[in-house]
Amino acid sequence: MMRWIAPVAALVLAGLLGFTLVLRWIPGFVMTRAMAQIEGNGAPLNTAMHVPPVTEESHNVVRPSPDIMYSICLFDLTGGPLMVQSRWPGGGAYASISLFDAQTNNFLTVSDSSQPGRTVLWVQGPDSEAAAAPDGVTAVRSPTTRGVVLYRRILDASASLASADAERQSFLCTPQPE
Amino acid sequence: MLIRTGVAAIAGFAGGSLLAGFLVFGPLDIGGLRDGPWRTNLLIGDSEAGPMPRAIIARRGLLALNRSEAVYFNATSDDSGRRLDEDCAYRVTFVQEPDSRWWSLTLYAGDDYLAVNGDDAASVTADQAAASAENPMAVLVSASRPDGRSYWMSSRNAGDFALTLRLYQPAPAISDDPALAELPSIERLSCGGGS
Repeated sequence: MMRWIAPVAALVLAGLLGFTLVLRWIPGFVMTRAMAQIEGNGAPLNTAMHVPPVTEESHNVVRPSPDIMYSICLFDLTGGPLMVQSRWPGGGAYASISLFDAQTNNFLTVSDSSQPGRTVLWVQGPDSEAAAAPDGVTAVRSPTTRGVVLYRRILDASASLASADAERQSFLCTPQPE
Repeated sequence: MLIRTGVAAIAGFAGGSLLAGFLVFGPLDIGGLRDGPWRTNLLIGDSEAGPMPRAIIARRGLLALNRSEAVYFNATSDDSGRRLDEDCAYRVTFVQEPDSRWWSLTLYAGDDYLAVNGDDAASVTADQAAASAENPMAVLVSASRPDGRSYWMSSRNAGDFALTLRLYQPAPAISDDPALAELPSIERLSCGGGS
């Protein structure tokens, strides 16, 4: 009996360790895989890509909405901060810019409700010692060096697909030298 | 003894790892608060989420907004708890529109993507409801296009599907307590081709 105590304890403890480590690894893995897939579809780092309207063929990210127009900016802050800016749609349609770190945390969301008119964000890496953000710009520190900025624009009755597409061209990601 | 313990540790680690992967990429849904057939997880996008909800949310709700900006309700069963199935027809009834700046109801196939069916009928939105003369507004969910109905969502080729109700900038009371939201009912009408 005694000779089984150590193996059983090792089995249980190692099982818990494996279970926990894999759970902690999955979010980063899923995010890295999604970023690689999006990058493979032609989205360069630190540059806004205006994604074609969602169709049933859209498989980059789970549960896409066919009623939302998306633009995406994969970021890597190794070389310095990133300036993210956009004007909001006229006509009162919902739009937002949300920032996600490499562990899937949504660490910031801004919209026309929180920053009316136009938004400009200065996104710094977790250990960045870059100069302070210019006046009038919202500074934010990303918990991880890599991540995703996602622009959402509702496709409602206030705009055609073409005009919504034209509006979202104001969503820009511009790397800033450290 | 040492060898036996080492083998047990390796087996345990492998078993625990496989179990975690199986649960996250297999049967577990996002879970969370239950309101009729609807569930919502308050931890979506939240850095305070524990390892299990964070992993499942990464798998099933990547890049979803946290609840200060949007609340997502997900249903995989009808009001009676039966799994949503493309072989059955359902009536989704909004007694009252969700209290939010904008909302949409979208049907996702079992793989968490839009069903591939060419029907162009994957969702119903607040804009359509605003133009509706129906009160309460009822949406038919079925695999075949009905005659003369205003609101239809196609479940063709969707298998065991899910419905996702998105509320963007919900009323503060709903952000604070999503259980207060007035959510649509999901009634199974028939199965096997009749609707």
